[in-house]
Amino acid sequence: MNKLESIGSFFRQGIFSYKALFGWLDPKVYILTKIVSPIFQLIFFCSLARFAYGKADVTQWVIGNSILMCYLNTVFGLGGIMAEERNFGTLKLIIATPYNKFVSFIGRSLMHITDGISTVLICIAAGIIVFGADFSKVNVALFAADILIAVFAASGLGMLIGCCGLVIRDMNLLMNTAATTLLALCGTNFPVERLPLFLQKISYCLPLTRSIQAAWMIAEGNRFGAVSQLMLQEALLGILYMLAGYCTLAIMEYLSRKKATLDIF
Amino acid sequence: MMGWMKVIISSCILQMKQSFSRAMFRYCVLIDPILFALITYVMYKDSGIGNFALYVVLGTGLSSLYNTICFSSAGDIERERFMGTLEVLMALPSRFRTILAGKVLGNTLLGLTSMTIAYIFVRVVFKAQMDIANPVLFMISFILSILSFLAMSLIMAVLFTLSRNARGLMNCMSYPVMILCGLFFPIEILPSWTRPFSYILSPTWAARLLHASMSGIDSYGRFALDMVLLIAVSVIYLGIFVILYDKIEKKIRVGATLGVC
Repeated sequence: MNKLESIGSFFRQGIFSYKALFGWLDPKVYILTKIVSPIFQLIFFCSLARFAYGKADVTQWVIGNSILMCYLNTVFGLGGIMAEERNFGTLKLIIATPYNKFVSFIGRSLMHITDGISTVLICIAAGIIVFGADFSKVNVALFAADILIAVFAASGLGMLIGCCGLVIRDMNLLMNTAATTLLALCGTNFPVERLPLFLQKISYCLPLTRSIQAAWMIAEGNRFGAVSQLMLQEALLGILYMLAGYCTLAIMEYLSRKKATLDIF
Repeated sequence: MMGWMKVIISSCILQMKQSFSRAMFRYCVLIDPILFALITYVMYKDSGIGNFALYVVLGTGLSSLYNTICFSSAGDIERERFMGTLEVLMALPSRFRTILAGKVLGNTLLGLTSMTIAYIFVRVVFKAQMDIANPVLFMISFILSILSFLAMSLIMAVLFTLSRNARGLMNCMSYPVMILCGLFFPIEILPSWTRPFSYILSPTWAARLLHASMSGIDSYGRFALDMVLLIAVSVIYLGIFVILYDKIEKKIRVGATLGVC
């Protein structure tokens, strides 16, 4: 296989995997899960913030909740890949293939990163329409870069979770716990400083915390200099999660082969 | 009479055993209320709203109860379909709707745990003061609310029998109810055109009754009216369930679509 074919194969399998495993085969499920549900979640938290703080402008909550919504792809999409492959009976084929599993995994994340960004944008649009969120001071390029970094970092977490699917049967539990933890601890709906100190430390170990803070600052009109540190730290955190995913995948693959638990439901 | 009671009790016990053996169900009942109570409590903490702990406890408790019932009702049908037992249940001499009622009852009883957990968490961790102003009326409201949730979940369960997209549907049914029923904030802050949707959902009336009986009743006339409306909506739900059930049972038998995944 020449280099061009390899690159083609890398992207092709990402697209096939996404179509097969993420409900795209049924547009109704996709619309309900990826458009309707996130918009209602956004409306709920923005309405709650409006009532609790008595503020008319809920831009901050629109931004926080919109960025958070990328977890639908990064946590549930990427996190569920291995478990879904097992459900379809194709996991053993993937493990048996000589192709690098981690590269295969990264290939699969590309579509989820793209789709995750689209969900964030849909939610922002909904926030502008429903709550009149104010994005007039936003530097669009910087904001877009922040969203990209946020989705990338969250993908790292998703890949780490997904690797556990090789040995864990009930991935729904792990994915839902991760999603609600992100909702609770990333400062989506309140500043992280309001949490107890030990929870604040956990918050800063999670993806999205810094991206959301940076996005708030960008919405207030801050330029690259003010948010660069937060964005770089977030990107670094994403790389760390990816590396952790790589090591976990190797360990989990070894364990699943050794214990012969690969196809056990 | 005793026959269907036996079926409901057996189905309820089996359902509770099966549900609690699933890690995801334990998460919904035990972990989710704690995390949600944490989020809403921290959001409300500096709000200046006096009785905000009530919103946190009642909101978290009622939404967890609703989610447990709704997710389980949808998930159970899908699981039975996936395991190939849905057709068997439908073909049994005992009526499927009786079995379904037992399942929903089992989920509801387990779902009550989440309300208790939310209450204990807010009381113990945040040391929030919450006294029940009218304990008797609170208990009556609470029992009526549970019966109403049962009726609502019966409708959902039977609708999910028809749908092959139960999982997708159940994922997007949680937040609309939390918004429209005023579980975490009064429905008066929503646009007025949403009001009719709120009024046809029984958790709206359940939340009002429980909130009033805990914080203190300003107008007993209004409280009685809310109670009558809760009962009326629940009775309508039961009527809809009976009609829907007969139609859907016929439809899936004629179309032979029951076990189609």
